[in-house]
Amino acid sequence: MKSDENKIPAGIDEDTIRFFVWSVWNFFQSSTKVEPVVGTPYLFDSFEHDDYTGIIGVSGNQRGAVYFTMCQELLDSVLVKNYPDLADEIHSSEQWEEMRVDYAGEMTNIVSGNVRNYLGEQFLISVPVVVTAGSTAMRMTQSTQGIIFPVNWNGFRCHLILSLEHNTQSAEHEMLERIL
Amino acid sequence: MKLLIVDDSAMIRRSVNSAYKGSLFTQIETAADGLLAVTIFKQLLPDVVTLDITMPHMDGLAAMTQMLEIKPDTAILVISALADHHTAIESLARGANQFICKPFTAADLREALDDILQDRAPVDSEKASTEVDSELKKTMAQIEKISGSINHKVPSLEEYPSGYVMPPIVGTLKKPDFDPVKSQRPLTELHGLKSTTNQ
Repeated sequence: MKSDENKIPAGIDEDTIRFFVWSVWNFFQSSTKVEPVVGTPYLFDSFEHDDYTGIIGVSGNQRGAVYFTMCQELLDSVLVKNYPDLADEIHSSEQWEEMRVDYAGEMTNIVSGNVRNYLGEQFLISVPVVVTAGSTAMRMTQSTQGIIFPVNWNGFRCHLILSLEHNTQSAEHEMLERIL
Repeated sequence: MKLLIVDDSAMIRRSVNSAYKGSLFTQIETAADGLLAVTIFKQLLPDVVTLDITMPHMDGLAAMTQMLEIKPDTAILVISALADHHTAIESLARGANQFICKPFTAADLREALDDILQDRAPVDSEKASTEVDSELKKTMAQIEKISGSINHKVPSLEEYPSGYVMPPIVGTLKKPDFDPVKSQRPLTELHGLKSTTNQ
């Protein structure tokens, strides 16, 4: 992973950072009753996937994606904390894998959806996609950069990555609407 | 009573099912997207539907419109990660009875169901009111309740137990012009944020 502090993502301001920090904190605190430690966010133009990465596409006033990448141990621990009966109900490793993939997507969806109360209804999010590509590098597109939020929950690490930019097409469309 | 659980996440369907299993529902069915939900709805004609909004193929709001055309007295509980007032009010305007945000607890689900069932039962005091007054009261009560549940407070920097430190790049970022008409945040909240930042 390499960091680049000279370039600033145009689509991410101070409020956006704070709302996402709150959203990650709120997810873990509300669903598991164990508070996470959200570290200082920093800039990245690439990052490595952990075991599971939930990806949400963003459109509207901003465009880009939200990535939430986490290790299997964290995911298992969150699942068991949330659903204590799960271990009794699921017996095959295939079912466990299905649940992990499903919940990695749902976690990304909840963290992204919860910030809409602050970023507005024009922060449009897609359904989640989950990739299982541990230790594989993922590069941002040329025009967008990422802010990475290191999160430590219950002794496990995960990362939330925002890669957003202002959607100029949306702003132009808005201006035209006002004029007309 | 029959219940239809609609969510693209299997874990959410499972948790809603667990919360309502053994209650007054005699039959519980599930669907993973809006299109499938409408198909199952036509066959099942459920009394209560729990509905996610962001789903593949057909979103929850479109599915709800179709469901209510088929059976207008169906009680709809929207369960969504989209925690904004606009989505909550639009859901109610389209015919939902309750709106709760993810992440939720089993207690949240049971409370929402109780509210729905209470709304469906005839109440003596409402008989005296006109139909319009009664509807208005219900809608206002729902909006007040939902507004309270989704108006999360963003903790100040001191309140973060993690000792969150503002990133060094923040000072160099250009803040977009604030438009009070377009923004959903009330001015009081905005002032709160600014004063917190300046500390």
